[in-house]
Amino acid sequence: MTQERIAELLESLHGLEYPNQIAPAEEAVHLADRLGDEELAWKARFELLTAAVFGGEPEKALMTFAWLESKSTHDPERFPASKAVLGLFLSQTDLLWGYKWIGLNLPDFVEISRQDIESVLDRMRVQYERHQVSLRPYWAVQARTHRSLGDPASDIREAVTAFNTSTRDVYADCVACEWNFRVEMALLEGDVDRALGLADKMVDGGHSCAEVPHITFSSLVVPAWQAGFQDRARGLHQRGYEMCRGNKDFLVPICDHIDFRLIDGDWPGAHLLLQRHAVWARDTRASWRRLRFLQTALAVAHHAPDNVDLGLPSQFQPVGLAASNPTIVEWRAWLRAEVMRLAGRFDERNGNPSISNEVRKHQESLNVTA
Amino acid sequence: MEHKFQINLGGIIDLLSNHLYSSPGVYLRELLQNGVDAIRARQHKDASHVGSIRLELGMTDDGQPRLVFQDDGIGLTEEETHRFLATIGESSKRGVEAQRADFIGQFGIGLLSCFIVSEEIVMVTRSATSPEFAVEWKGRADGTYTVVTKPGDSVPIGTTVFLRCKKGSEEWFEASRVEELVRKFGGLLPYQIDLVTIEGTRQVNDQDVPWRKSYESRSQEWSALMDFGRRMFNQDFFDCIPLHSEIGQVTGAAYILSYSPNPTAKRAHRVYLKNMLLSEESDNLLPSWAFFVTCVVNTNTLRPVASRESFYEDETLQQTREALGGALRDYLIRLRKHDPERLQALIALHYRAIKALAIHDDDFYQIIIDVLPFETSLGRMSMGDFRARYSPIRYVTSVDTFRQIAQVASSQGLGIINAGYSFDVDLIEKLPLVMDVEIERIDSVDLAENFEELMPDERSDVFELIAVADVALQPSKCAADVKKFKPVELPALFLVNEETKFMRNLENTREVSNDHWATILGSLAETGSPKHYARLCFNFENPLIRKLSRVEDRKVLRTAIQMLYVQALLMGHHPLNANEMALLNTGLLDLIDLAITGPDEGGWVQ
Repeated sequence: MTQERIAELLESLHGLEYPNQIAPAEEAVHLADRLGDEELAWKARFELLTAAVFGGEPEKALMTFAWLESKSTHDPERFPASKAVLGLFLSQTDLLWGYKWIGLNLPDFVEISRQDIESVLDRMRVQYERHQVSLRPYWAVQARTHRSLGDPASDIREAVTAFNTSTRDVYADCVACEWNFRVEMALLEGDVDRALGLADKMVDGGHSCAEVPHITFSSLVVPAWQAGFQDRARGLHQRGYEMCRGNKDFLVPICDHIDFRLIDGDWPGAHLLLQRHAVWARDTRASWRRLRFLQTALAVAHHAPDNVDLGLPSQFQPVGLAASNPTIVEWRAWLRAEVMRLAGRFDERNGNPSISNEVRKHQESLNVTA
Repeated sequence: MEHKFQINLGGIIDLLSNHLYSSPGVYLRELLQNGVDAIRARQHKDASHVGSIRLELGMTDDGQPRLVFQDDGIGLTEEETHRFLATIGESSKRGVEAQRADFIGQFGIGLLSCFIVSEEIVMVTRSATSPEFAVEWKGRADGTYTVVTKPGDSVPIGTTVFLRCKKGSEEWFEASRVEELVRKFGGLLPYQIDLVTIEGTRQVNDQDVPWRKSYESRSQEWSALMDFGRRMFNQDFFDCIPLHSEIGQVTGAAYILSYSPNPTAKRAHRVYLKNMLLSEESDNLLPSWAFFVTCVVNTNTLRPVASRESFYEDETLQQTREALGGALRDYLIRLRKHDPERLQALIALHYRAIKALAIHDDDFYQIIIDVLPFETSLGRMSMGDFRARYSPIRYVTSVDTFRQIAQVASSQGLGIINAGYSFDVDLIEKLPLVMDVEIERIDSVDLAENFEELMPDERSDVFELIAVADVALQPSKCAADVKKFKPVELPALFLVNEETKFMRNLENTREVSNDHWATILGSLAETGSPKHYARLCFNFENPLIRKLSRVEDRKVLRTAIQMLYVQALLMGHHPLNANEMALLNTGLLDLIDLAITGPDEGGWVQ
């Protein structure tokens, strides 16, 4: 009966959108654990891993991956790291695929040290080499990790070069994701024209997946506006926001859209989105996502009229604010302190001031003065 | 040095038939497409031209099935015949006319698909632009062809294709199969399509497409649409909604399913491009929340991707999707205003989809939220009814938490909503943003705040119980407490909030993780902090707990506490870790042993 229930739960996932897959996947994992059926628990955890990664609960993805990798390390024959057939076909998520997701999410947690992040990436590389598959996805993760950790641009470029010269195989990201990667890298180099051109080609090619072009459009809204393409930015905002608004995994892209409304002179619109998505920020355990939201909240608060009620949900009430309904002045002070505190923690973890610098640039771009 | 590679026509045909085309039957789709393109081209020159297509099935002299496909479109000149049929990929839509959106198809490639079912294709064509000559083109699967020009007098304007069935393809020339496929691919075409067989001539397409007609009343239109949907999908529907969008030039109808769809089933819509079937599995034309309808629509301008199952995610598609979603939304709002009973019936079937829309659309949310159903500690109830009875709106965010506390909450007279199902948390948390409503997310720890405290003398009675329990449960990072609550049958409740639940899962995973991950998970957990301890709350109203508070034998007390702890975990659907499994096993054996032998002759309770 329990096995049937687990099968039913796992089957039900495919008709649900993210993030609604997390709860049934968790239930399937709990039932499999209670049943003591390790094979079923292994299978259910892969579903939970996917659901958690794409449903915006990366901490659950980390825990799940920890369990999976540990099982595979302990008994690789029963729990193999790769399920690719002859290195040609891969019909389901496996550990090698999971490394890509986990590698990207680790830096979002300020509690996790640089050394631990690098160690997971090392293990990813070892596993890919052991299974004789292309390191292309590893280099994509490496490039993004260097960026997240504030490493020198030369490190990022080196990883991108290695990515470009590695072949595509079954573990390569989907074509849409790779287009998005190119857009990301073009933006990182400050080449907005090229990024927009790449996004056009991506759309013309009909490339899309669960996250693309959602995150691509979102990442382009502010740079496009700042580069003088205001109408283009508005179009990207309209389409990108609609794609992202239903899934808390897109908290950071949503912040881009709120920022866009601010620079486009639509403070009420920015405030509306801030209120609408504040619960996502309240619930996230990923400190980078929280910091990103707080930065945007600070910008909205900074430009708010003095008599306005910021009106964030009561559960979001900043700890340490005495008044039950903080004034906008109190909000500004608290948000600024919180942003600086978290940015400082990231800098300490990264061993460089990159995040504080990023925060400062963000504030400048949105005219948030001290 | 530049080289030119050779194309093997036989290989191309094999590729088409075995890999690119889903079935040999697509040769009929391609013939229809060519015919439709040709008729449109003729209509462009002569707006009064009506256009028709005729298929005739018969036998060749040597007894092989034969199909004659005839259109009265624009026809081809000799020069066009060479150009379009000798060069694969050349299409009649190129050149000046390619700029116009009303020509589709690749004539040569389309005709090539006929080689899947025929060794030889004979095409006789007479162009409306130079009617003095007719052209007979004869092509073979080995890539050779001949062209003969003759006087045009005896040949009608248009194109006739003769196919002689090759061995093994007989089923694709059977009258019933041909009719089925023509109906499927060209059922909505606005041109009369006749099929001639040994039994006579009959029209196979339904030109009575409801959205191309005008009606005297809405009820007539509704009946026509419902009838059309019933015939097309072979099922009855709850209702139908006419669809129309200038953007994307979309017309059609959405049919509301008369059953609750399985959430796992992908909702596929039947989409026609310029009245030719594009896909029966199109999945991105409507908003994702519209999974309570299945649609049949025709579009004239959206761009299909190569697989033909969806459209390019461009701005036109986005705007079209919004327009079509708007039509569904407006329908629901009309029901809310004018036919609340019907809305209730629809909600009973499709509340998930309506909740998904309410999250997406703030205005719709305000109109609909009060009639949406939620599971509560007092049974299923609409938000409106719940709001009328309780303030603040208390809710839990997981089904497990609800299971743990629903019984206790209802015993306390508290109304709690189970927001553990899809969309419910988002719907509830949106309430204070749109109306003056207070909400409160709670968990079992919060619920326990309402439990009755013990009197001072009672507290001294349980001092020993709490002291022993704290020590016994310390390894499980759980603290003990004693309060009074209902139902009295419940001896203990495991109190955990999201934070402690997360920490508990984290600890459980750390236990089985390798060293690398144990370190990383350790970084995520502020281990040892009592604020993350779960609590086991004993119920002093429960007779067993009262008895337990009088047990003096510490071993007995400790074992009983550990067993109550494990039982409370199981009651709350919490997975047991290795330590807790060990507690269960040893505790059970100890209790059996104690029950048989007793701590002394006087029994356990002093």
